Amino acid sequence: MKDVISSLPDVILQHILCLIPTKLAISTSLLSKRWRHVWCDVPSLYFVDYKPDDDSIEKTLSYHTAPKMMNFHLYTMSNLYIDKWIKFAIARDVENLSLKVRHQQCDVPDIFFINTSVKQLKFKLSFTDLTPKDSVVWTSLRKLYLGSCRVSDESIAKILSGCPVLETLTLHFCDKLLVLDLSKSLRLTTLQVDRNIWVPGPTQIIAPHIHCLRLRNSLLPCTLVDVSSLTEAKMDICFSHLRKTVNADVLQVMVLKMLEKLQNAEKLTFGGNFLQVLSLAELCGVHFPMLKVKYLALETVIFQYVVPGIERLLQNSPCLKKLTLRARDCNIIPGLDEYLTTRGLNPDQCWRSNDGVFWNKNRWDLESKHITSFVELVVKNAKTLEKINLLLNEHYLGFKLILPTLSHNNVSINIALSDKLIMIKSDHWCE
Amino acid sequence: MSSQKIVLVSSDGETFEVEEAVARKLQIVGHMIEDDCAHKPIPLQNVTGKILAMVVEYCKTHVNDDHVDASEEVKKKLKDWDEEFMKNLDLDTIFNLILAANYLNVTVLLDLTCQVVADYIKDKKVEEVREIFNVKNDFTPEEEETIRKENEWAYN
Repeated sequence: MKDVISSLPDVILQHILCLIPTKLAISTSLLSKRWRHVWCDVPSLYFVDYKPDDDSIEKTLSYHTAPKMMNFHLYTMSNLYIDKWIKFAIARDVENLSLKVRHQQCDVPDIFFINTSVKQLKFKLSFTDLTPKDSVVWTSLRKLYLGSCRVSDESIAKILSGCPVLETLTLHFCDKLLVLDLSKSLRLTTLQVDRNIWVPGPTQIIAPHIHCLRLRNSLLPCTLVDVSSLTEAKMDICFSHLRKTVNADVLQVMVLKMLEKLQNAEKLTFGGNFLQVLSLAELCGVHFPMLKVKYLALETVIFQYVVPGIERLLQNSPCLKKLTLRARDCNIIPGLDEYLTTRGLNPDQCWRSNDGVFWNKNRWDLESKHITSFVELVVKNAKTLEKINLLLNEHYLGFKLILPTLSHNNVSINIALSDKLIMIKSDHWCE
Repeated sequence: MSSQKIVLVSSDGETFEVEEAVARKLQIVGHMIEDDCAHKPIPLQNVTGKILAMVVEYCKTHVNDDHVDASEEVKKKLKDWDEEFMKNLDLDTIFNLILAANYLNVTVLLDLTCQVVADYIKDKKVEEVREIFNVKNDFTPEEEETIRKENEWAYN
């Protein structure tokens, strides 16, 4: 066999080298003289999987000659050359820039905020202040991810005003931010926010134009002021393992207010912790809004603390066509039973289903009868349902042989166990 | 969009009659359609019939790729089809497909074929890559040492 690969044009070899880690791309320079400088013009550099020291990165960049860069991804422990590397990427009109600095704060150079070529920007900066002095010019930016940054209301407003075509914004533990006002970002369709107990921001979200919201909330209050164009939302709550109790009253109010704002969304996804708060609200007799949801996904394991909330959601979703349950582990909210007791309720009775089913208290004590009960509960409460998907993980593999026959004429039920799909069509299971 | 038939002619004279939507997946042909130059057979000088047949088959399967609303199920089926399509192809054919995808400007096929080659290289030592692709090492030991020193971290 002759050496065909070496006869491919540089542009194709570089395309191939873009698809492997930079460390490997560089090592191809040892293949033969033909390959000696091919990697130097590769338009993508990834210093992520293999993390050389800063001096090595610096040396490697000195050999790099591509006039235009598509991707530059860098993960470093120090801020020694950050200023220089940002300038390196900007000078090459980088389109997709990703920078993660751990353990050290760094100064972001002013030149960084003026860049007309960048389309995707991901910054994770050990709580560095992101404060543009002058106006921001990111006229091509479509996706912005800010992680572990300190960004004030004024700073985010300045950043957003310089991003006229921004479509997706992700804020992952952004400190100092209180009111996130996206009312002037007309093209922004997707917002993703992660909050936790230590990084509370934002506490208010004004986003009248977004279509898709993903919010992982903390225990601290957050208000959806305006999300009137929303068609899709994914919600959950992040709990610290260290907490022994939570303020259940505040949580219920926050979650129900959010649910009201999601009334018109067609696609909804709820995590296990969010569902537990809904269960609590249901048991305490709190009023739930009616929903227009057609596609509902639940990311939780089946256990007693989520069932009442799910049941109420189904009853309040008269347009529901498809329900998907994805088995995801979640913590039990601390102090649920104690809270019910203080409200004069008997926890053992509360967690039992209306039709007397005793649900598993521990999320790993699930048996096949609980799956049966869950499917029956869904079908009974969701009259318009056409399809149920249960995506269960390896833990449930034992059920494969003992899953009972279910008969629901108008509902297609798919159960995926690990990589195997078990389908129930009408009145029988077939593998 | 009209659904006229477009005739493609390979370098060895084989003809392929395809739907316009399929032909448009070959961006070089798409431009000809835009410029109203597609009412007669389009010669594709750099692609043999064997390879063009594969490109056409790929484009037929991926004709609706641009639909944003494609379900996960549809995407998975396409991914499985791609795997099957590339499975058991020898390197010569893969390289010819790469050249064809590049010349015809079928970006998704170029990405797929380049990814297959990248997977051959991934996690391999230099000597193994040389062996797979039959690359002859024409460096002197001194030259090799110089290159290793340039980016020491990459060879550890």
